[in-house]
Amino acid sequence: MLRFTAGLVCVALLAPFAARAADDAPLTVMLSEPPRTMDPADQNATETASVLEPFYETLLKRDAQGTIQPGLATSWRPSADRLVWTFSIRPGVRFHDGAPCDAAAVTRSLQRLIDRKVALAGASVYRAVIASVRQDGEAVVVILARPYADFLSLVTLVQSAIVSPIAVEGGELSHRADGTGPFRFVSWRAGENVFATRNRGYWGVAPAIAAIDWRWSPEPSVLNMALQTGDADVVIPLAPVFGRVYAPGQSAAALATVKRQRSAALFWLALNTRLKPLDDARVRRALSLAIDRRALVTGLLDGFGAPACHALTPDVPDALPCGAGEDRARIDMARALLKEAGQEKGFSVSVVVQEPEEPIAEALQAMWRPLGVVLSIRRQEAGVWVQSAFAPPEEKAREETGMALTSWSAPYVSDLQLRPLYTTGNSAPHGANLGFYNNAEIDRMIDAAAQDNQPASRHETLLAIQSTLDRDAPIVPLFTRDTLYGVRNGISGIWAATEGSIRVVDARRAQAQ
Amino acid sequence: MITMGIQRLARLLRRLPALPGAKEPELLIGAVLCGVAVLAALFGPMLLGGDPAAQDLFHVLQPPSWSHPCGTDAFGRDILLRLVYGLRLTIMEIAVSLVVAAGVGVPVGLCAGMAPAWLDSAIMTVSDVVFAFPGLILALLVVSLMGPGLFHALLAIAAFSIPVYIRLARNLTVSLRHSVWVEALQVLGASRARILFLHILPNAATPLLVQATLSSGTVVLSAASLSFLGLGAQPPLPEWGTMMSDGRNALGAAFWPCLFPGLAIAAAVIGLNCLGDGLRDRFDSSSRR
Repeated sequence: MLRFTAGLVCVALLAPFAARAADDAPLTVMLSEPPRTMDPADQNATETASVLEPFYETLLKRDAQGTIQPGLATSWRPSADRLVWTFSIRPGVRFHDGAPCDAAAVTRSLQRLIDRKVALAGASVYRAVIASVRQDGEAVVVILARPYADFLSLVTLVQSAIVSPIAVEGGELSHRADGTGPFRFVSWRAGENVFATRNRGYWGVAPAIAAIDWRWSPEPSVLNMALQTGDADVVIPLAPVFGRVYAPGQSAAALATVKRQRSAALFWLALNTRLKPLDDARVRRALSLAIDRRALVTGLLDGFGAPACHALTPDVPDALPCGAGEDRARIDMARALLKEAGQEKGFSVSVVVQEPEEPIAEALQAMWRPLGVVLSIRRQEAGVWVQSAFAPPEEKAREETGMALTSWSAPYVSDLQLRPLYTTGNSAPHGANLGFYNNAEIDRMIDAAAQDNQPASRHETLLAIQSTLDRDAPIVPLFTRDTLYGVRNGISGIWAATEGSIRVVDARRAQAQ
Repeated sequence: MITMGIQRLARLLRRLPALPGAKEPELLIGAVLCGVAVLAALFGPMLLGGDPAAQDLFHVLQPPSWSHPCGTDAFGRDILLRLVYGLRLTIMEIAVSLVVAAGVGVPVGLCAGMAPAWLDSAIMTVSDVVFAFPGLILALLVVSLMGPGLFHALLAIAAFSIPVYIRLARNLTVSLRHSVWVEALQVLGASRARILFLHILPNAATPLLVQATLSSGTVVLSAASLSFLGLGAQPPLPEWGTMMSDGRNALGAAFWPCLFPGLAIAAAVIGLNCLGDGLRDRFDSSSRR
């Protein structure tokens, strides 16, 4: 009895340490691709945003429900004409390198963001919208070049994260993250992992987990296996085919849980509007009409997504939904358009695609066969794909690159779904208008919608934009894919944002609760 | 493990001399497997019907059933139908690779065997350098230079097979050129080309045929490997390596898109190797057990 009591006492005494030990183990998160940089403003990749999010903070942030909350700014106020925004900066915050994150540091970070000489890859919208940034005591004043209805959303994006002036001056930011977030950067071993530890000097609630170990693999089955074996605590994205493996009653359900987040990740096909015969809008429309989007969602996504028929995704209130039958293939209409364009015998065209998206291209290949369109698929590794997809018109003409298949995620903000993909100024290689679409009317309407603070007139403009884009079809929207991610049982606090990135800073293991 | 099983089966057949072909069990197994494959390639598509590239996205990854004996793949395509069409591709791969490899290697080897010592030495040195290079790596290099595609992959496979034929043809020529009948032909004034291609080549045909059969298994494996890596056959061609590559993305949720193409590759390689071994045993008395 004495031994039993002594044992109980020991267990009671050691339990907190055991719990601590459990949370001291790093949380291993596995992604489908490595981060492209540690500089938040120099990237537009969802996976990179996932890795950077624990290191950095923005002026404002969105919670799991999508509501805007204070971040490094405790309060904010616009001028009457909404051209001048004043942000009060949270006191007492420090960067990981020890430098104070005060109004001066925030001002310098935002000034770097809009600096045309620096030309950061993820900052084009900021350069277009923000005229200048200046310090005003303990506040930062942002002066807009023109009214921008979604400005507050812009300062919630990771691209606008506040970076340390010391890291910027040292030129280290591309390979060593330095922000104010709850985790601090430890190492980035190329091709292997990124390691982060808890920031003990964090101003907010300290994270429960001690460290995060980011790993990656492009193989969907490897991600699934890593989740089942415990090599990864969290995997994202989990391929839709594995959703059924973790269904209740399946043996894998005892190991991990699959979660689903409605996502704004739009998968689309950019058509090279300068290459024959894709320079003819009728041909582009015919290709769009021949696609069975419902079949794509059912077959390739196992139902975890929704057909996309227009430019805006459903998270934007002004988005046009798919009309009756619009998500099914309309081969006869497509044939008629091709005949009208003199392409009734079909043609050959090539698409550049990254390995994870190759099945989509293969499905399109079969869907276009009845039209006589022969799609040749050029599967490329991520770095090579970026070079091909963002190549200038002459290079694309030389390589006969007719299409690029990719995805774009910019939830809530219609301007960010339209401007980068459709405006003339964002034509590749400078922006994501990969097909070199050039329409002055669209440029004007996108500007008008972005500046319009009146919901009714803005709604009308956005509808007109979507109709015009349907007619010109510079891009073929395919579907929005829900974010599926797997979390080992016993781990809580993980959530995915609407743009598809994973949020792990609030993670905790069950033993610690 | 499968090879060990086949060897055990061959040993068992040898102990049953009453059975037809039991004296040469490997030849029997190889001939049966290759014969079935050729018949399936010839008549399978007609019997099964359908388009191997036709997709049905509403019935993807269906497990094996009576309507789809090998199940469906990630695009709802019938795997059995694609395997049968893939068999035709495999036969074509073997034919193209062997024709190119032997077409280049055998004449060069024959010439080297009859050439002056310095030329023979030069040809064999170049051949040995290529031979020493790992075959698949060489193929990867060639495909990366020429671009992905089945034809390029086959040329690459042929490229690393050429030295094998050069060496074999050269050695056979050297061993035959001092024969009495070759010397008699020379005395009668036969030209060197006539002696090489009308007299030495027919006498060297059997070992070359055995070598070709043995190389075929390597061709199947190499072509499947390059296609698996995305450097060989391109979608929607039903090449077995491409099918395995497509199927691996569903491993863990559906085994059949990977399993059946894998079995097909294994059966083809075992069949060709058995046939090659059997032919070697039949024609080469020194290798008879």
